[in-house]
Amino acid sequence: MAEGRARIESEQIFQRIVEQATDLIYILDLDLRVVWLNHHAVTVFSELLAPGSRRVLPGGEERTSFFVGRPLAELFHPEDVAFVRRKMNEVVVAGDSVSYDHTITPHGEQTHFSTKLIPIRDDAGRVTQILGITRDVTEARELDQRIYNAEKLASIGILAAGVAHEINNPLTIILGFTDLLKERFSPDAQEYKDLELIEYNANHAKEVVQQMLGFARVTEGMHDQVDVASSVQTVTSIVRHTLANRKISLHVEIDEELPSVAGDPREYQQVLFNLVNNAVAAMSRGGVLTVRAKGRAGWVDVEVEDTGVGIPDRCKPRVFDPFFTTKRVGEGTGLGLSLCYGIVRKYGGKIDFVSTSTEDHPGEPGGSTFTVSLPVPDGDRKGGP
Amino acid sequence: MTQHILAVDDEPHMLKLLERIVEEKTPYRITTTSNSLEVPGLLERHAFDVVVTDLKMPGMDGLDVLQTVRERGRGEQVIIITAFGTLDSAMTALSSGVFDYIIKPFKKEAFLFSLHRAMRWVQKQREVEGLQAIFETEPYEEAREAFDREYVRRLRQRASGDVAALAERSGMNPGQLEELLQD
Repeated sequence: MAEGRARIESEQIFQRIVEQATDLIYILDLDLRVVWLNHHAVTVFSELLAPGSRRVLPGGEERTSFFVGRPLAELFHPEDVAFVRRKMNEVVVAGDSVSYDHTITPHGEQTHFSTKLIPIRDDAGRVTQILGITRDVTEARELDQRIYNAEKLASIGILAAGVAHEINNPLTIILGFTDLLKERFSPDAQEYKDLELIEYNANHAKEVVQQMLGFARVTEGMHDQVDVASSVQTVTSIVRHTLANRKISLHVEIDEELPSVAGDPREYQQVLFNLVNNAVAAMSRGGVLTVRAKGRAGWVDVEVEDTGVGIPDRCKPRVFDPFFTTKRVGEGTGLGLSLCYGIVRKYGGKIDFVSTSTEDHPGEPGGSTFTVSLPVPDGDRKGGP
Repeated sequence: MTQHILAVDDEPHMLKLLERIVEEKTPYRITTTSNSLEVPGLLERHAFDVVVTDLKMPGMDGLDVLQTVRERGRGEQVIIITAFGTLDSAMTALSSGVFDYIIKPFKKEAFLFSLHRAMRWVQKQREVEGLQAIFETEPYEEAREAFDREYVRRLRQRASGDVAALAERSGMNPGQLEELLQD
C-alpha cells in the first residue's frame, strides 16, 4: 500500500516538474500529431498559431485538450510544419536526438528557439514517438548580440586607432614637405597652386582620420550627466549667427524642468551640432530650423527639424552607415551620423528620423526631423513615473 | 656654441623632414637616428640640448627615451612628436617630465615654436647651473678666480675695444685683465 502511495507521490512530483517547467515539453507521434504537451507549450503554441487556427482557439482550461490529438498541420504555418517534419525524419533515420535553432516571427518580433527532438522507442526498439523540448533563447541571443556588438565596436576602436597612427605618419611627411616646397615658389606659380592642391587633399585625409578617431573613441567617453536644456542652448547659440547669413530662421523650444540624462555633455553637443549642420546643409536656399527639447515618461527627446530638401527614400536605409554621404567630395566625410548613432546608442538612447524629400515628392515642401531620445537615469526622474 | 638636437623616429622620412626644417629654419645642429637603441650611445658621445622623439617605436619607445635622458641628468629637454595622440598618453608624458607633446600631423610652426622654447629653456638652465657652480666652488680663492674669468668673458662679449679700453670701462687692473683675457 505504502509502495503504491510512494509511486503516486513520485509521479506527482515528476508531473509537477514537467508541468511547471519553463521549457516547452511535448510529445509528437510520427504523423506529427500532438500526443501530449506541458503547460508552457500550451501557452507558447497558442501564441504561434496560424491565423486560421487562432480563431478557433478556446480559452482557459480547454486549451490543452484543443491541442492534444491535433496534427501540427492544423495548427501552424505549412513551412513551419514541413520544417518540423524534416527534423523528425532526421531523428527517425539517425535513431538519435537532433538539436536545432530556429527563429519565428509571430507578430513582427523575432523569437529565437532552441529545440531538441528525442526519439521515444517501443519495446522492439522502433521509434514510435518524438519527445520535444524547446527553449526560448531570444533574450540570451539578444544579450549575446549586444555583447558582440560592443566588442566589435571596441575592437573597431582599437583598429581605428592603429590605422589612424599608421596614416598620420605618412600624412605628416606629405604635409611637411609640401609646406617646405611651397616656400620656394611665388604664390602665382603653377607649382605653388599644384602644391596647394596636394596640401588640401592631404588635409582632407587628415580630417577623415580625426573623425574616425572620434568614432573610435566612442567607447572612451567620460560617463557623466547631461543637462539637455543647457546643451541645446549652447549649440543653438553657436550656430545662431551663421544661420542669419544663410536666410535660415531659428526656433528653439525647450520644456521647463527637463531632467538630466546619462551621457557626456561634449559628446551630446557633438551629436546636436552634427544634426544642426546637416539641417543647415539641407536648406541651401534658406528655411526654418526648429530645435525642440521635450520630456516624456523616463525620456528626454530633442528634435532637430528643417524645411530642406529632405532625404530621398532610396537613401533612407543608409543614413546611419559610416562613410555614406550625399555631399560632394571635400564637403564632408560621411562619418557624422554614424558617429551620432554610436554615441546615442552607447548611452542607451535612440536616434531616428522622418523625412519627406522633394526628390520623391516634387512640388511639395520637403524637410526632415531627427529625434534623439535619451533615457533618464532612475534616480533623477522628475514629475512622475 | 651651436645648440644641438637629437631626433629619434623609426620612420626615416620623418627624420628627413625634421632635418630639413631644422636646417632651413633654425640655427641649430641636428643628429638623427631611426634606431632608438642607439640613443644611450649617442647621448654619451655628443652634447645635446633637446631630444625630439616619436612615442611608438620598436626597441625603446618615447617614454623609455625620456627616462634615459632624465636619468643621465645632463639637462636635455625632450619633445615628443607622435601620431598616436590620446589625452591619456599626453598626460602621462607631460607628468613624466616631457617638455612638450606634439601630435602629427603638425604644422612646422608649432614644432619650431616648441623647439625654440625648449632651446631657450635649456640655455637658461645651463647658464644658471654655470653660475651656481662658481658659487659652490671651494676654496674661496678658486671661486674668486672662476668668477673673475667668467666676468671678463662676459665683459669682452658685450664691450668692444682693446685691453686698455676694457680696463678703463670696468675699473679693473689692466695687468690682471690681460692675464684673464689669455684664458
